[in-house]
Amino acid sequence: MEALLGGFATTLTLDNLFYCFVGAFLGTVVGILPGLGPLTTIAILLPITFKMDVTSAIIMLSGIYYGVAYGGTVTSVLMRIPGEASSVVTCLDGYEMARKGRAGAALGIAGIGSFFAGTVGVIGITFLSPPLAELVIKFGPAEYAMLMLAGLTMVTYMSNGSLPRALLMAAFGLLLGTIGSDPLNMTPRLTFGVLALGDGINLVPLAIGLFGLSEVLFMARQKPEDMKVLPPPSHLLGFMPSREEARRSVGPVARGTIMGFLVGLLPGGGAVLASFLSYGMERKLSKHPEEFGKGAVEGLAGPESANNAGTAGAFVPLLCMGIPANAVTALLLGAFIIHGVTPGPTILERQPEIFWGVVASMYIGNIMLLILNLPLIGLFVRILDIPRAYLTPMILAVCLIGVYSSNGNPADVVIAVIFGFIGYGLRRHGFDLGIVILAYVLGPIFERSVRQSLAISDGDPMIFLHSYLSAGFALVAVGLLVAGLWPKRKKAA
Amino acid sequence: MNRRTVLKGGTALAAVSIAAPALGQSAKWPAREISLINPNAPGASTDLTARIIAQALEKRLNATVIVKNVVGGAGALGPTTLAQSTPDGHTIGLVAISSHVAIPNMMKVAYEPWTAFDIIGQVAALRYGIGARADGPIKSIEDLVNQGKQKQLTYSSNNVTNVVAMFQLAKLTGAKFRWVVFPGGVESVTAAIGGHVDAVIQTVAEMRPQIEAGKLRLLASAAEARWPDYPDVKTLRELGYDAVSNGPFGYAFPKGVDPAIQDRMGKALADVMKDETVTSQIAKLGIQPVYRDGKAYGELLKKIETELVPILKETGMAKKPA
Repeated sequence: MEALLGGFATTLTLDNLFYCFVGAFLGTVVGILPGLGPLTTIAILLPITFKMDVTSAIIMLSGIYYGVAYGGTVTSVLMRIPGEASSVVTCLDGYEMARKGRAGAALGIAGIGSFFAGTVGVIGITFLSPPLAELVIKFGPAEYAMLMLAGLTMVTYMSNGSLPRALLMAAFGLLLGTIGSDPLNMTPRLTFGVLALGDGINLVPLAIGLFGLSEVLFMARQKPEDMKVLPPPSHLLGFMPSREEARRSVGPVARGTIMGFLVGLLPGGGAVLASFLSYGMERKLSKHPEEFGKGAVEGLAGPESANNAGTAGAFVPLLCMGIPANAVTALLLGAFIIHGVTPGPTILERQPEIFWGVVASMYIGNIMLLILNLPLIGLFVRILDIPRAYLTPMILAVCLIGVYSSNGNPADVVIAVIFGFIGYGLRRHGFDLGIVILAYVLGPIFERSVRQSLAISDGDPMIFLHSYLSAGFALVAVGLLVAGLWPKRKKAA
Repeated sequence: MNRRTVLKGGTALAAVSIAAPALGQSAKWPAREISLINPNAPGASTDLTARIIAQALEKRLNATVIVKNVVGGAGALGPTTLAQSTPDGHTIGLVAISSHVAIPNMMKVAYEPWTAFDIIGQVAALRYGIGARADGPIKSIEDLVNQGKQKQLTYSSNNVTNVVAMFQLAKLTGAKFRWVVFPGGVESVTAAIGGHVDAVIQTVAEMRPQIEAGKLRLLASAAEARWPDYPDVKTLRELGYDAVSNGPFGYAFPKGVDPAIQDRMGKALADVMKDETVTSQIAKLGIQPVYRDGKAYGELLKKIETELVPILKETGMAKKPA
């Protein structure tokens, strides 16, 4: 506690507050605007920080990272463009809420939920970091394999329509995940000699194609007279959710926060898995499961909280183990190292001022983001006032530039366009695209950890039950599967 | 003067006229910004090194040097782009074991590694070490070898260039080690301290935090020399096993750059590598700053190829002969 107060003392200098603000602000802007992803922004700013004080530099760069998560929500809700994998779920019900004229409320709930989850996540880091780092070490290939299996059973909870259709989409996602390099041999697989497919299909073109571009196609097909202009909130507090919406959000936010933080601790897509798990869980618990996918507030509040808590949770393996959760945290890790900070188990003993400085700046950054974003919601929502004839090409441009800038690779744009058409076709026939992304993200991790496990055990499948953790996850997977199929069977009977 | 000399003269003239633009190029070089192609993502150790080197080169060449991350194609996109770019001296890129040995032997690529580049020089080398969980049964390389003779042991690592020493060690002693591939270096260290595998071979940067926390025991340096941070830990060679993992990286032009430009760039890079602030910044990344000129670096890569190709075949990673 004393250490954290020291951290606040570090952060609350005028300089560091300024850098914290710059980082959070830049992050939000970058999250909303196309063309500059967090990766590019941090890479460009990195040499500038060489001359800065270590703590200030790290506070600013971290600020960009969690600011982006806020900004990404805005594009997901208003334009159905997921900026990153963890906001794919936000597109599902957040965008539908916007179409019902509840864009302001959607952004308000997302903002408040994110703030709550982010803050609780930081409190989690504050008190639990060292023991949690120990827990992460316990996760070997077998534990991962079973956890991913449990995650994949979420497919049965995500589906809007029939189970066979959901399984078909899951199979499609799994297949997409196998393209690229073999995870163990690293030899090319299903690339048909195309160099651009050597690393597989990247998530950004896939998600933006399936969600953003397919929506552009839908808009393009509408007749002008069908294009309703959505009623924007008329007063300053238009972002306030209604009493009913607020009441229905409390449970999902609380559950999403706890689960998001725990799953976010796991390196390798924790925040993504968290957002999907939360969506499936809320749908299962909801009294109105039929509203999911049509603008259910629970389907927005839960996952948004889960991914923000997950983002905070991901700082535990990053700071205490030096394990990055994704490309952006990998770059942050590089920045830490350049500044002479070695994330790892010794960071708390050797450089406590850095660790607690970053944690304290996250508290302050979260507050800044909330103050920064709530008043702007009214402004953001005005985007929807733009006549569709102009908005549609703008969204198209935003999508394509966003795809290109994610890796600077023109082939990604082609891939996104192809998936735009695929997504359009699948949605017209009522398939759930969220399942594709879930299977695509988890499938490769599942495959790799199964094969690693079997390499370790020399082919003995009992390795998946060798520890309490992996056996426990296997049990959860079976339980989820049975519970997921149960009510459907009753209906059929 | 007979016809033949006229012909010869003509050829010489033609040669001069072909060379003339190139010579003109060298006078004007650098005419614009220089791109440095890195096949790894921002934040990778090679990327951070490239950014340090780029900044230092800028002062010496009086030109902007931009690091371009050409990521994709399982690492093949970067060297392919480099090989296919215009050889006017304004594009350089990373060349390493990946571009010259691993990738061309694992997949079909559109460049011929040994003729597609004019190598400028080596700037750094990753330093590898073998470690095991501190509270585990393996306390030394001797333990590792002896237990590996009794039953198959597993070890983690994220890249085929890392594991050469382990394969050589297995061959020399008859011990059985199975490589379990992990997606990242730190993940493979974590797997070892979590007891999921018996040992790990990674770089100093990836192992140091856990060694300092007392969770990982450094059994030996797998590099040519001991690690400066742990001078008491011997190399595999000093322990009597002729096994070593090399991790050099450096830069090259695409083939066909004016020799005068090559010369100026070579000198600039050599000068950069004498700069104390540059080498200390690289060292901070846990990488050893090592300079070799283009010729010596090319020879080193060639030597590594003879060690690595049999391993690629043994692990089934080598591409099928066309």
